[in-house]
Amino acid sequence: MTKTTIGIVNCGIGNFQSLTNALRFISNSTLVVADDINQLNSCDRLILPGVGSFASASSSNNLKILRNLIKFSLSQNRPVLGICLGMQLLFRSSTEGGKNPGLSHFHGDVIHFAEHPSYSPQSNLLIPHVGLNTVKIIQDHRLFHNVPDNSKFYFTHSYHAPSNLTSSIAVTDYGGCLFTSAASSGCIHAVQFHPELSGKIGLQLLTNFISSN
Amino acid sequence: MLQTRIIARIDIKNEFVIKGIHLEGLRKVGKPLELSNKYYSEGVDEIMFMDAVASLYDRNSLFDIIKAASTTSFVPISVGGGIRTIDDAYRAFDSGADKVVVNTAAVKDISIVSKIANRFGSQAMVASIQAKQTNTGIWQAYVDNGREPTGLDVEDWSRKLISEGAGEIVLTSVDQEGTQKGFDLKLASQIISKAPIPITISGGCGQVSHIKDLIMTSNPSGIAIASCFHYNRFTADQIKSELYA
Repeated sequence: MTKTTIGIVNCGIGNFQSLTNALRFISNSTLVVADDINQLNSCDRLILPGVGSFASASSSNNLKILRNLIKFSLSQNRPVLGICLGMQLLFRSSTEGGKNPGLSHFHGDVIHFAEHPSYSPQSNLLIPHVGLNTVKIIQDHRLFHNVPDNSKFYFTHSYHAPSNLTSSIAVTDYGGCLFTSAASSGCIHAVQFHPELSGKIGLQLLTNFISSN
Repeated sequence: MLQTRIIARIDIKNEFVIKGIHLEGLRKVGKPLELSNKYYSEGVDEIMFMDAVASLYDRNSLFDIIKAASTTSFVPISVGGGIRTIDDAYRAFDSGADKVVVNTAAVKDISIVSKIANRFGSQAMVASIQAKQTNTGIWQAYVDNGREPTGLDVEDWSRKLISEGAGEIVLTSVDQEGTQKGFDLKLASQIISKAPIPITISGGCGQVSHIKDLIMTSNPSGIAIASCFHYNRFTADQIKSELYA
């Protein structure tokens, strides 16, 4: 079997150390951190990480690159994993920093917790949502192989995708606000939490992604 | 529902993990990496390294510890003690830290908080407050391991730090720290009830019932534990099985 290469899409934002450390720990894959389409399209798998703001990550140039990468991935059935902001970019739009378009791979629009229909200003909900929360699996998926239902993962975010989507494979409840914490459609998967910061259970999820086909 | 994070707090002096009482009388208890690996394997949700002497000359070895810890422990890692500039913060993140913890530098010039938050995001900017109760019953913020009073009221100071962009606060009770007699529950609930950001409570844990009391009274976002882990009183996994069984 040939050694796999994992491309990490570098949109010029964020800190990839934790992610690359975790990937190195669980596999001997070659890691390619790049923003170049050709380099990234030669990889067997792609990860869209993301710490930062939607507005800066969805600049027209970035969107062009990302669109190309997603299109190519779909045509080759190449697995892609979006993490946190990398997940949000796969939706139609986000209200972060004004209304900005995303990649529209998943239906639905990313909104702030304060825009959630169940949000009540009296609830004293802390935003951002930071910490360990329960991930409820609502559709069997290979990403959750050997991950028990209701496992805790580490979140840090203020915006989220809605919960009632056909692409939702897991949901999370934050103070009564239910949102999609994992989504999948075709070979494109996404998680709102940080598997690279969620201990052993997070490494299991990353292993599942790397060994999926 | 959010689950309170169990955080291993590792205070470092030179190449050793040290532990004192009221942040003083420091005693060597082990090596940073050995302990952080142990606590990770025993289920902690986060690791906080604090350089107790904030010694600039020893900066490189602190960052080496972070670098090594972040390749074996896959939980958020924060680092504090002597983070004074954007450049220090950059080096911490470059070494694999997920958050920096700032105290003295913010007291000297609060703009460091917004600078770090704007550059790296609020989620990466943790403010540390060392609180000591005065004889009039209010809490005052201290720096330098609880030795130097700042004249700042803890509640006012936390509000200022939040408005500058701190994404989290680590609140240490100097009075309880190292005593293993329980957390300062009044201090915790006073600050947590008014803060719109996650607060981690540090100082005083001696048994699991102290953690239960703290969660019951103020449900903090995080609880930092040092002595009980260093002296093998219990592990993070044991705390969780008692709390959530």
